[in-house]
Amino acid sequence: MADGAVSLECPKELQRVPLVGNERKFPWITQTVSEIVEGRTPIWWWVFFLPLAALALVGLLCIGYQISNGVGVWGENHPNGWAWDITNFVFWIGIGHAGTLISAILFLTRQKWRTSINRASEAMTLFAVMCAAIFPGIHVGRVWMAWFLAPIPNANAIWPNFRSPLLWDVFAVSTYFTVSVLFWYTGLVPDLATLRDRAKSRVTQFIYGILALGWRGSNRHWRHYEMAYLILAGLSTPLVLSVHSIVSFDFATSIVPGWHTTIFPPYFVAGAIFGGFAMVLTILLPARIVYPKLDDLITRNHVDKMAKIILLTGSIVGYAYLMELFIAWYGVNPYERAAFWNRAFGWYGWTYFAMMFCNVISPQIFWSKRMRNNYVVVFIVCQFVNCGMWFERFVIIVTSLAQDFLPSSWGHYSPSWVEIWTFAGTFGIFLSLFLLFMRFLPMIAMSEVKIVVPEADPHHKPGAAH
Amino acid sequence: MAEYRKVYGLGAEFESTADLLHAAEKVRDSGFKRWDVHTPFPVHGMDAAMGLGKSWLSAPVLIGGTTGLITALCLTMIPSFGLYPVIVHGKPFDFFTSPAFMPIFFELTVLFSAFTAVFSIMVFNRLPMWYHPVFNWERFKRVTDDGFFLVIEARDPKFNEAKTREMLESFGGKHVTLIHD
Amino acid sequence: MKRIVNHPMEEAGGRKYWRSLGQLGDTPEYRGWLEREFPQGASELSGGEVSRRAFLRLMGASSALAGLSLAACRRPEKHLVAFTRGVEWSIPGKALFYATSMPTRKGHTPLIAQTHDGRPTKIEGNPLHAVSGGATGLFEQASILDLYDPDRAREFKHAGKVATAEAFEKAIDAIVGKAGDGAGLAFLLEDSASPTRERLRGLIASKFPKAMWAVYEPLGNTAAAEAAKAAFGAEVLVRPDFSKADVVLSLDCDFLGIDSQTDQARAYAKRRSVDGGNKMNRLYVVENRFTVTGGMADHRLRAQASQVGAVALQLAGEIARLTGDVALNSIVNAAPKTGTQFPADWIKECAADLAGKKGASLVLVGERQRPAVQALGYAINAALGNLGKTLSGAKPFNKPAATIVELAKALGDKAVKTLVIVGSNPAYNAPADIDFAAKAKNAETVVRLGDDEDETAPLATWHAPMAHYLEAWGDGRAADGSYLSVQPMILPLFGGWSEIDLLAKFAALPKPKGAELVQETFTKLSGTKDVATDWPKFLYYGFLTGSAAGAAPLTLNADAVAKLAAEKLSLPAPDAESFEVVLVSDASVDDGRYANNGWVQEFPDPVSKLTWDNAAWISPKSAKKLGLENGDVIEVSVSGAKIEIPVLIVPGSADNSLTIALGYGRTAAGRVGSVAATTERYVFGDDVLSGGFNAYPLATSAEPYIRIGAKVRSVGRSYLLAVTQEHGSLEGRGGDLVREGTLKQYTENPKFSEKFGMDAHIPENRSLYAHPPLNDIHQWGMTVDLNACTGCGVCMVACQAENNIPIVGKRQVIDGREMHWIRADRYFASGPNADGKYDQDMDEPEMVSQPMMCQHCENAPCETVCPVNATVHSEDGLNVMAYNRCIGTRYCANNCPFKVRRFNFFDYNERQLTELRKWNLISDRGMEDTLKMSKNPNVTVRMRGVMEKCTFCVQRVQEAKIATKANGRDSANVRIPADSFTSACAQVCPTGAIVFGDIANPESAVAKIRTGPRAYELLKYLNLSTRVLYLTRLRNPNPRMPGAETAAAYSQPKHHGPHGADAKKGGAH
Repeated sequence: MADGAVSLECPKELQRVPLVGNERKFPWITQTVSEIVEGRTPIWWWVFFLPLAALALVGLLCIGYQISNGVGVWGENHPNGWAWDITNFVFWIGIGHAGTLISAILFLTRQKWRTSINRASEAMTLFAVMCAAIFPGIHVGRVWMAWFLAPIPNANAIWPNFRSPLLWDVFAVSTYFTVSVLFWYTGLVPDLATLRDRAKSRVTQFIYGILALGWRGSNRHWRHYEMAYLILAGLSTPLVLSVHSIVSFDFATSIVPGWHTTIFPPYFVAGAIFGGFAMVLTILLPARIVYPKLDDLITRNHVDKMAKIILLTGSIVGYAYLMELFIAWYGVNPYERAAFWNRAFGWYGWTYFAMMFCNVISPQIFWSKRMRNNYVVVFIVCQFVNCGMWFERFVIIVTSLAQDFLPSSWGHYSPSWVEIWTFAGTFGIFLSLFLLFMRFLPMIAMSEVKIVVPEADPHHKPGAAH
Repeated sequence: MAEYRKVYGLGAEFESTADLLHAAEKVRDSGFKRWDVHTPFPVHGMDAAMGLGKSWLSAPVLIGGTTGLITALCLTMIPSFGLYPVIVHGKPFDFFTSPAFMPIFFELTVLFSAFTAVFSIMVFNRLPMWYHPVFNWERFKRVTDDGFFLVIEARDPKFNEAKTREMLESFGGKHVTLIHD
Repeated sequence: MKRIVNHPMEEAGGRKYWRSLGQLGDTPEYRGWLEREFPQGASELSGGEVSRRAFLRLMGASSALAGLSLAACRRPEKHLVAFTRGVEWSIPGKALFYATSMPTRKGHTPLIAQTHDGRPTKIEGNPLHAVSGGATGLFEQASILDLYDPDRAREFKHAGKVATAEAFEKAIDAIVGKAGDGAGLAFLLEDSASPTRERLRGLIASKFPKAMWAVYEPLGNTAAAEAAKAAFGAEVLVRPDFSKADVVLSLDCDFLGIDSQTDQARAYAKRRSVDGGNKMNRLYVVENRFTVTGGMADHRLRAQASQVGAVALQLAGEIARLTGDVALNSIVNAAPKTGTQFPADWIKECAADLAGKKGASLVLVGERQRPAVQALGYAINAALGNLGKTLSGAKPFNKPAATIVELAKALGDKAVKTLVIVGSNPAYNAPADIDFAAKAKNAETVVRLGDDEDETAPLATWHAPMAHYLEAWGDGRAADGSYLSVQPMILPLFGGWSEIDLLAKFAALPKPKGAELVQETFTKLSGTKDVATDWPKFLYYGFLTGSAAGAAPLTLNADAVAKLAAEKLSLPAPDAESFEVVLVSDASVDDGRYANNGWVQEFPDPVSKLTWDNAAWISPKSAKKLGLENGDVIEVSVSGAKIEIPVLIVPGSADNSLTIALGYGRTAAGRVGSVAATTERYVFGDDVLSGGFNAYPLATSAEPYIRIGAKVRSVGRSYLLAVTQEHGSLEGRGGDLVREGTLKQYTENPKFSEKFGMDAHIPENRSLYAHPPLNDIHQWGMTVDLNACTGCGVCMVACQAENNIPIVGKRQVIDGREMHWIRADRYFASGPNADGKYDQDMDEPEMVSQPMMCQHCENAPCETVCPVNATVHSEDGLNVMAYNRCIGTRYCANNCPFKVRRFNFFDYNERQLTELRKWNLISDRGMEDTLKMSKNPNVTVRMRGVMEKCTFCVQRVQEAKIATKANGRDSANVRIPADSFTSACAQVCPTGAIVFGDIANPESAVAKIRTGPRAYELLKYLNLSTRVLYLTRLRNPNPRMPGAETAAAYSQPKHHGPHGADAKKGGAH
């Protein structure tokens, strides 16, 4: 427009990178996201889904075998009462942090770029927490008695011990899962309505219609909806921080040298965000390959921002590692010192250095923008981080237990095939659930993305530069 | 039309959020009460344009949260100190040992608040409501894509089919349509 | 379970072993009892003087009731059949105790057997008898499991085919009929201290003068007897008296370990203590590998077992010089000079110390040393004037018998037509050079009475099951010569005969009746006029008072010793290449007879902590030289004989010396003990061999125990060894965990060890919380005196028997899942070297052992982490474990600083240990019925997935409380009398190291001890306030001895002394 020309324009280089590329409009967004769900199931989907589902099945069989024969089919022993089971639990629960973090904390801090990734990462959160919840469930010796953990008087009219960190876990994890589900579904409702309105067949229309609760985009609804969303975000923010803190209490409140550490809560939370973002990228980068159109929604800009967060949290974690060592040396307790010495140079020393490299060294590459924008590099680093975060939990749990107070009770641990396949199985469960999600639900929050499109702003002048 | 069907109201479609916003302001100023706008996403400033205040949904959430906290306090302390006190780790049975229960206090507070928040939306918005007259309007499907609609209900005292249609068109509304129940 | 009156029939394919009782069950009167629930039997009981046979028949019936109702199917329908009128004196749920005794090589051990409803379930020492004093050894504890061993011989067999007892009896009668003057009749028996057997031997000898009577014990005391005969000119048993010995020198004599006797161990420990004004004794040990005794030594000299003679000689010379004893001097001169020299100052100071205590010193030479060396030992004692003071003689139990060598020769010359083997297992354990098994085939008939169908069974024409000592009548002499009874607790489970039953047949006595035979002997021995009153008294006490043998005088026959020394003492100097092989008796399976006993198989060797196998112990140096790791299999060859066996590196062993325990490598011991691939043959599971390696092939009749000139080479294979303690070093934590000092430190300041380790730095406890009141009138506590504990580990098996602790099998032990509630931690420790590193010297370390069980912390870390309140504290200070509440998160075990909590990773009670990983639903479940009978009914049998741990024998605590309440009637005083009962471990401990009791009762021993100066808490800085306190261990080094200053250095604070010195209050609180 003519008047558009005279309007004060800031120079190109100072303009923000648009959150949605190529000045895409509403219909395009709706179309792009919805067609993923509406189109025919692509071959590649089956190619990935079937083997992953099979892997999940193997995992479930292992669990069945273990429940029927006893924990003995694992490699655990005295003194290593916990090993891969709790390692995997903490690993998955950690991954389950990115989603809610993105949807909650970034929402409160008005980070608009979150909109195009929050849906997928929330879904990922849910699936990760599901995988996590498996392990505390099956690691107990008598699974059929696990209901004793419920806050009700058990078969002997005894109440559970509310002082036990394990019980805190029960509360924290179940609350976290429930709230995440509510949050996720609330966000889904408008998009389900979209699918409902686009539905070709009666069946899909019916199903999505039911799920959409009759959403009709009324502004009187949006009003409460936005408030509720804000509140949920406000609740989830401390929640997401609390969950991993409480998980870290499992160790921090015990007296085992190497566990009994006050730095655990913050360092576990940082680690969780760290690993969570790595897993988000692990999933979204391939998604961008199979759905090239998403490039305009999940832009370099997003990847770049997430890489920065990985760099930040990775460095926090690295700081925590070093601080642990320092404190172990500084507080003269010989058992503490021995524990950390053994961690690095004891029986399982190699895992410690593997962890150090994956979590602290490898993310440092993200100081370079070129590397942050190189998807291959980012993907590889994310895989390092995923391994590293698993090793971190293994190092904390096993090295501390294997060599504690009485040298007479020291003992080695090595996993059995059952443990290994159970863990592999959870990856099968996680990924096949995610594939199902991609197939049947909008993996990008359309209604939210539309808000960040310039046209969404009533005071936006058509044609003016953004 | 073939047989008589109760009129729900008049719906108009608008080009952009801006047009809708201005139309809304005008409708508000012309004193309509029973009307609504429908958009694919929340439009910034629309509440003001419609003369709606801040949502007071936070009130029930506060109540819910408090309930949660109280529940947690009772759940942890009554059994541990009253119903069935057991000597655990040499800890006495008094309030000073309650820091051990903090995580539970917190989690239950959050849990209850979250549930009240979600259920409040349902209640306040009268959802789920799987049938609504506006769904009878063919164009209305685009409301979840890129359509911006304004609907004035026939129940509104100032409603007059001819006048209102005229008014909506004057505000820049397109495809003004009579919506039947 | 529904209760029915008429009893169910035994279903087809029911458990075989009930046969014997089934036979009984078929008899009409038995059926009669069943229908009418014992009225007849009961009336029989009610009638005045009770006949034990009747009682036992009823017992048999009762256990049969159990048996018949036990089905083999998955979900057995069980019927309750109650005693409407119980067996004699039995109150259901209450235990009955009977005095009896267990036959062992060294004489019988006086025992008390605990029976529940006629099932013996636990063995205790007879506290009234000096030899036991309430304690027992390992094998006595384990013998319960032998009784119920499902693999015992169950059938009378003729030529391998099942026959009946009647047929067997007829066959014996036939043999006796044909035997004539006994030419061609030969008996082979195990050593025994039974006067009745000796009496029957006399009868048989008079009936068959030409019959041969041979006795064989692979680990017997033939060498000792020979030495004694030479030294003192007559058959004499030499017994040391530690109570009088201030200085003890042990030359390869493990008198606290495998050669121990409870009374001697106790006497030694008494002299070891520093309480009650006792002057602590001093112990020198010369040995080739660490033994329990060596671990207790104040000064230990590593020497090859084959060189111990040389040490003795060098020492004898020194002592002869110091005492100017002519006889000893002559002996030393007579003896050929040995090439080797041992640290002169060590020998000199040791000799000086001994000579300084004339008449109050003691020199012991191991039973497995050559007679010449042992005789030399006696000579040294004579020179030190110890004869009659610290060494006394006693009349041997039996007249000398033929040896197995003579028997083998007779067999070789076809001079034996009928061979009667009782118990002994020569096919397995006879010396290799006499090739007994082959020669035995020359006998026309071989009659075998054996408890297993073992390696010898195939030789037998007739094989009869032998009754366990808890199943049969008998008698015997204790080590001190006193006369003991052996009472049956239950009818023979498999209808076995006892030794005396069989011998009575050969003595052509009427149908065997053990009771009558023993009674007759008793009447003779006691010379009683009134059997009717004295016999029950004898049975009641379990021994004949005042029947202990008086000390026989010992006078040294110097010339004989000199002669022996001149001929037999010569020893070639060891060369650097060849090894010596020392064959020792095993701490777990003895000579192999207990191989099928799971408890002892899983009992970790006190020194090596090896379970389920034996191995060749080797010194770190030698292993390095040969490039061997633990488990590497070597081939050991001595003059033609070869065996393959894995090595186990044991610090403190002499270089070029292999120590191999006998008794393993059984091929027909049963499911537990035989060499077999065991456990986890299922998905991805790997076979693990167990059963050990037979070392008997290396033994010859001439040199049964110590072979020299052995060649060793690695065969490049490796073998999995199940060691329960992976890590033997203290990591410099001695100051916190195992506190030890010298007698000097103690006398200077009894509280010297109060501030060892971290206790020197911890501040006063300022807890925010007041501990909730532990307000029961009883407060249970325990003390463990490390100064008295030898680490023998009997407590482990006593605990296992008392608390129904399952065995888990070798593979599970390898995985680190053994279930022992109490374990004996063993550390090889040495003080800080130049650069402050601890435990570097693994050639000459100190060995310390520490029993470790639940410490019952008042602030128990395990409790707060349990999410389901399954482990909480009781008002009387017990850390209690509620199995039915436990869901098995294992968090408590992780948070236990002592790692004493044990988790049931599998259903060890219900599953076959070889099939633990086979899918539960398709593998057969259920405990062997006999093993069910062995369980203590007062202790839950835990299922898989629950945590368990030491309970301070809470069942005994409750029994005592109930008893006190019952006795007190309405009186308000329900306080249990001080020390009126104790825990299983404390009760069995031979040295009284463990003391359990009520710390709230000032009268109780434990209350007194824990306030003593040496008491300390483990890991006090964790503010656990444990209920178990340990007492600092003391050594009494000879200040003039080389290395005396480094004694116990591993435990001392780096900056010496001051912490202890300025201590105000007691170590315990």
